[in-house]
Amino acid sequence: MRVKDWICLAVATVAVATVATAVLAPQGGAAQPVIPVQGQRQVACPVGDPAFGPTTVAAAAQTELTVWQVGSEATAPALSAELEDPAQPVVAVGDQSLGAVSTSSQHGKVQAVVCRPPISNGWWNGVWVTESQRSSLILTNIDSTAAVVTISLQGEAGPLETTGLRDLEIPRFSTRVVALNSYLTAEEPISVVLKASQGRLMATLRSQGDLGTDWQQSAAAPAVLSVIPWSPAGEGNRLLFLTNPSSDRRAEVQVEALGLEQSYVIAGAEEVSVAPGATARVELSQALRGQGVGLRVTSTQPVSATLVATGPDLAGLSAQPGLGGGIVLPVVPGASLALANPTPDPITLTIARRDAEGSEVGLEEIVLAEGSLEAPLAGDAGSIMLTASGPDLRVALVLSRIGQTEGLALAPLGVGGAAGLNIAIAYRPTVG
Amino acid sequence: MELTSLETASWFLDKPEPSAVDPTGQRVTAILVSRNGAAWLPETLAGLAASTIRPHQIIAVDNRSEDNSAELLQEARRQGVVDVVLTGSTSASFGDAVHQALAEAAGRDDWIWLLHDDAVPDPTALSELLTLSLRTLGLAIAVPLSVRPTRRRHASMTLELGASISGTGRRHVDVEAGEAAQGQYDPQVSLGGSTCGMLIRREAFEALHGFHSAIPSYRDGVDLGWRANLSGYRVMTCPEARFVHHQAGRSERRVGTIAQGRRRSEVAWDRLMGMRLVAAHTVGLARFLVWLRLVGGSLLRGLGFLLDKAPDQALDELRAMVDFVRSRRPVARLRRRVERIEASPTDRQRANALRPPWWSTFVLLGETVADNIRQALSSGRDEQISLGDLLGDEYESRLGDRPARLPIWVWVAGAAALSLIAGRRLLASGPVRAHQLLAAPDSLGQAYEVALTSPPGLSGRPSAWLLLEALGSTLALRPTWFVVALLMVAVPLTGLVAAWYLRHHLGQHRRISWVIALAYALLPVLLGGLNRGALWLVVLAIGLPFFVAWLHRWPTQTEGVRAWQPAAGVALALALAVPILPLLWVPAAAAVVLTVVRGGQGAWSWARAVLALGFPLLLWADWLMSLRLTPGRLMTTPAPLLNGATNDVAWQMLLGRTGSTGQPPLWISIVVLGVLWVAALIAALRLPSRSPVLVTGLVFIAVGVALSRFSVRIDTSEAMPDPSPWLLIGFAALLSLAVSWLSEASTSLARRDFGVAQALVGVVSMLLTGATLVSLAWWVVGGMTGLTRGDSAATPLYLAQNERATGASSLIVDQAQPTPAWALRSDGRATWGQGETRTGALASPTGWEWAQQAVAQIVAGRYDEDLTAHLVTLGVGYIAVIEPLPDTVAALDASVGLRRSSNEDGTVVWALVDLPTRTQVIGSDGAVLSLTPSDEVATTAPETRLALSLPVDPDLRVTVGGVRLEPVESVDWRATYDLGQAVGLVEVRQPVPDQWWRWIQLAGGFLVVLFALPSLHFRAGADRSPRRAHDLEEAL
Repeated sequence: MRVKDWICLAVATVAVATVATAVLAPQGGAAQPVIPVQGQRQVACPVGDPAFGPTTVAAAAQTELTVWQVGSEATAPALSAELEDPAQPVVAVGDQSLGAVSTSSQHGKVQAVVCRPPISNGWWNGVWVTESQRSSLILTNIDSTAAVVTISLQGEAGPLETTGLRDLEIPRFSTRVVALNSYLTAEEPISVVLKASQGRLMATLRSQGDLGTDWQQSAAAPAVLSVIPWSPAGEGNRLLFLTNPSSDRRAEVQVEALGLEQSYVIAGAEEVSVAPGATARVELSQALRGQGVGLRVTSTQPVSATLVATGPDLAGLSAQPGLGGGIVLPVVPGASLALANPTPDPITLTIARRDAEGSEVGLEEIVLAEGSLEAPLAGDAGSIMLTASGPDLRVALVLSRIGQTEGLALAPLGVGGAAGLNIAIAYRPTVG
Repeated sequence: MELTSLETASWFLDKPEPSAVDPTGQRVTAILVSRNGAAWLPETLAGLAASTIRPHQIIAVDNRSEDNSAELLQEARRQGVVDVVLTGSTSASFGDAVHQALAEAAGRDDWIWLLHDDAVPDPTALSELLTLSLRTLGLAIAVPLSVRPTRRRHASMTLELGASISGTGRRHVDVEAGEAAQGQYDPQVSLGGSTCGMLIRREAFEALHGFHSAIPSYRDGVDLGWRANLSGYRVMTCPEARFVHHQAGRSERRVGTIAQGRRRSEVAWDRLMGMRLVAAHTVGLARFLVWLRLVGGSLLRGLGFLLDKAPDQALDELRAMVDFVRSRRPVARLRRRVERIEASPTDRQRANALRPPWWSTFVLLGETVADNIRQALSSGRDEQISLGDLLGDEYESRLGDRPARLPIWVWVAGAAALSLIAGRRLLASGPVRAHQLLAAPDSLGQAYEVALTSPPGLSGRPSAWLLLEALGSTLALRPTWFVVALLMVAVPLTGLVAAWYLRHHLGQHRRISWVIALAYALLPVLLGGLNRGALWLVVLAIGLPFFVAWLHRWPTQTEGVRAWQPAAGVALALALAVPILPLLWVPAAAAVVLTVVRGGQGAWSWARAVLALGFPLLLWADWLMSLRLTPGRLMTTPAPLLNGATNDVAWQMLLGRTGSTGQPPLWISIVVLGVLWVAALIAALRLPSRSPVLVTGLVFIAVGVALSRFSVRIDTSEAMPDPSPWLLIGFAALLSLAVSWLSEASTSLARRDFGVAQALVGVVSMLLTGATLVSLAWWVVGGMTGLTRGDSAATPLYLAQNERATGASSLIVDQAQPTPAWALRSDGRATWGQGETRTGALASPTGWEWAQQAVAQIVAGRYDEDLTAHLVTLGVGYIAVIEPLPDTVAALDASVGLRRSSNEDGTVVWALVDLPTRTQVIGSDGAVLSLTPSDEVATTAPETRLALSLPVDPDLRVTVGGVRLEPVESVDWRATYDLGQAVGLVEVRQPVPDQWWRWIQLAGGFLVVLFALPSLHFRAGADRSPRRAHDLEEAL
């Protein structure tokens, strides 16, 4: 071979190798093991006082589940379960797809929550503690050891001094209702922060009075990007409460509406300044003009955000994390799904309908670009399994009627279950 | 009388004024003994004839030579050079011949002058000997200076001047053999000396009963002198009397010697004489000890020669020892003669003082080793280049480039300073850690434990690389010191080795070769190797020039034992390379086969090739065999679990950017390696004969790039093959090509007028120099900043302390990474071996699955009600999450059995409420008691079990209070044992399997190292090398 042949061969070798490697995507990412999240999921559901109206707790999962009222025996395993007017909060245990909904028509209004695992930290905003609107925290310890919590309150201007809310003990398998009005009365809505120093519990805020009745789960932890899945369409006030938990840094907040076709900055909410430790109220009714939209809240400091809708009924919906994994929900007659996608990439929500025996009876896909929408859920029985193609989709149940009772309830799904959730992790002995 | 300058200054030198004597009147009987010395006899006779003083009588004794020595002597007699020619016997010794001559001598002269047939006296030799003898009261023996034959007008080279003998029988001379004899010696008392030219007072000779038959040759002069000293006579050297001594016997050019008659080599015979002499001069009980020392020392010397690849020398030594053991009678006879001397304590003390001290052997050994190391370093294509030359500018000046500017120490200090600055992160305490470097074990014992024992539950053998690390740690005394030392010297040492290779094997003498050597040394830095703590890349970079050098030598070293040295060298290099990257064996084998085919040296060369290629496979056979379970490891480097992601941008791989951490900024890679590409391509075009080097380099680079696209399965994990070794070799080939062209072009263009070619060489040289300087700067500024020492700062210190104190593990999750990373850490840090395979609880499939599931749940922000129960079995005391997401915090905060422990610097730690450890006592009721390493099992109830967070392994030896526990069925996945009635401390050991194989490995490795290393030529120092003298004489 001549020299030029050698060099040509060499250069060709490198060229081929380079092209080949450029075509062949490195398998580094694919090389990481993807672990499906497994194990048991446990959620707890609040219940209402049967004296003021009926309550239904329904649960469903991909495989068998059991439910039990706190302090009672568990039911036999089944694909789904439904308890009418349970006397005690209900705990459901199943696989990672387990979902449960508690609905109630207390005081002639509509309340609903998607049941959640117990928590040790909670945030609630826009909590009324006036003479005409009373709020209580329902704390249920579903574990066999006592839980100890401290509740702190924040007003418009900062922390509110209260006594008797520190180190509250909730004995094992018991419920304690903390009536906030017993501790203070405030003209403006306040924020409530719960921290468990020991144990964990189911914590639900119950509000009832002239504005209506509502159950509200804890908001997501304060963040610089918060998404509230839905501000319901219709008449009434739409109030956004922003709480800045920082003790020394002011938060500059911008609120955008995630409409069906576009997102836009809400007039009057372009730049909301929230002082350290304070709560700000932003009036959205005029700007939204009765439209149903999702809300994207961006701020310079982590804030906790909650939308409160008043009108026919009181309904609060706080910022929530994305639906990270699949979740099975029992069908709630008359309910619809509110979806919000804060990202520019379209997300597909797959809704698989199952009958009471668990057989799949229908499959629906909703593709949502940046924005939000409300999708009615058809059917009166069975269950649906929700699976999102991306981790950023926020989902909430919207319920305006239970039987003959009208009202409004907004129940966020939170992070959802973990069915089908695969997590890529890398084992690296050098970590730490 | 006219005073010479020396005499004028004699008062200043404080020398006694020599008394005037007249030697001419002395009656001397000269005895010339001949045995097959015709080759040298004419010269000897001529010298004798030229003597300024003719002896009273000259008697020649021919011991029945088979050549024409007898005729030459008869002719000399006819010419009057000798007076009498006697005929001895073939078996007669020199002493026998002397005795025969004295018996036949006419009259009784005062002096006896002994002459060898291969030694030419200076004309004044006898005169000087007599003058000294007359001036020195009591002098019985005068020993002349022996010098080597030299070319005319060349300075005489000292051979010996008097001789003594060490306690081991080694011949000892006070002067440095080989130095120029310029009259620098003064007469000195001596124990004895060579009989060649020896002048002996007749009266003393008779009093001493002359020579003894127990020492027929070589040491007979020392024996005579020794006995003379003991008898109160004086023995002195006379440096003014010179003999040119051919040493025909020692150099094995004389035929028919006594040694040959006994079928022994001259060396073996000399050793025997030495041992006999020492033994015979030892009286009393000490003689048994001396006998043991002589025999033992001889065995050791034999072993030393064997190790020095001199089997003939070893055989001589052993034969001498055997002959000595058998020759008790001659020794006893001589000892009786010595005992009859009745030496006074003063004389005995004086004689002992003339012998070398006991430590002289060790001094000589040290000198010999040092000499030979110097010689080894200066060997190669240019035999005249030494290490000192290599480091100093003197070399350049010798070649006529430039005058010397900087001494060696400046270079050394500069390199040390740069290394210290670059490795500033290493100037701390604690183990060194980096992306691809786990902490070294605390002790050598732990390093070997890791290297020799498989982690419980795993059937594969520990990585061979771990054993190399342990061996390196042994040399450095501590594992951490080994790591620090290797990283610190990485660049200077690699550069030095590369320079050695370029100069000695490629013959590159230009300054640019220094630049290229430095550029090569910085390749591991450019590949991010030092930042990642890739020790193996450093070892590969250091070993590569040796491998190529040994391949170069393969066709040239084809004779005797030396022929096996290149093969052993290749085997050694591959023995280092295979544990680093087993796949490298394939191109190495191709290179060896190609070398053998091109060399065309026949079957023996193929046999050597089989040794070179088969040895590493055999040496690491156990590990390689175990890789059948994880064949992916054949393509990966050590600790593959630590490998990072590969570079998505393929073209950047051609610039050494593998995608792993620790790499320089992109512009540095472009500048430096871009220049290298340009230089190599130009070199390939301008130097066509070297094109295959370019092809080789490109193939290596292409293979590295291609392999980096795939992931391989290692122990249920996926790992990316690190392309660094392939890129290193590829870029090294490009550098080699560039330097070859530059050097040849510089030489060929030196005498031409300046033109385009010179400009091209100049530009490329400058570009390479600039690129190397950029690399150097990067090395100093950021090339080793990825290294840290001490415990990790990413997690709170108390976590590591808790792990050590309680024996618990910590589950650490890093959510700051794009793909969350995790580890189950024990004992405060991850150490060697944990990058090779899963260890501890993770070696169990169930433990691994539970740990992964726990991590997945933590990352997902979900939790299982059984999470803590699983973590308890894993012995996890703490969960630490680096930069956790809110969902994770919320989930863990709300998990049963967990308690938030701390939240510092973005790392949140949760403690398991029960504070479990990896050793748990489980009662019959299921109650769990966790034990720390210092806890003892106090009392046990029936059916109490001991559960370890380790997989079930029948080889595990678990004892409590010294009582070995029996394994029982596992409660879950853990190794579980019946505690029985055992109380006390819990000890867990994993025995070393197949220890015999380790010894074989060690012996095999030792032998290959021995053969690969250059010979130290101990024989040269031990007896001042008669053979080398012969070689030199032949050369002359």
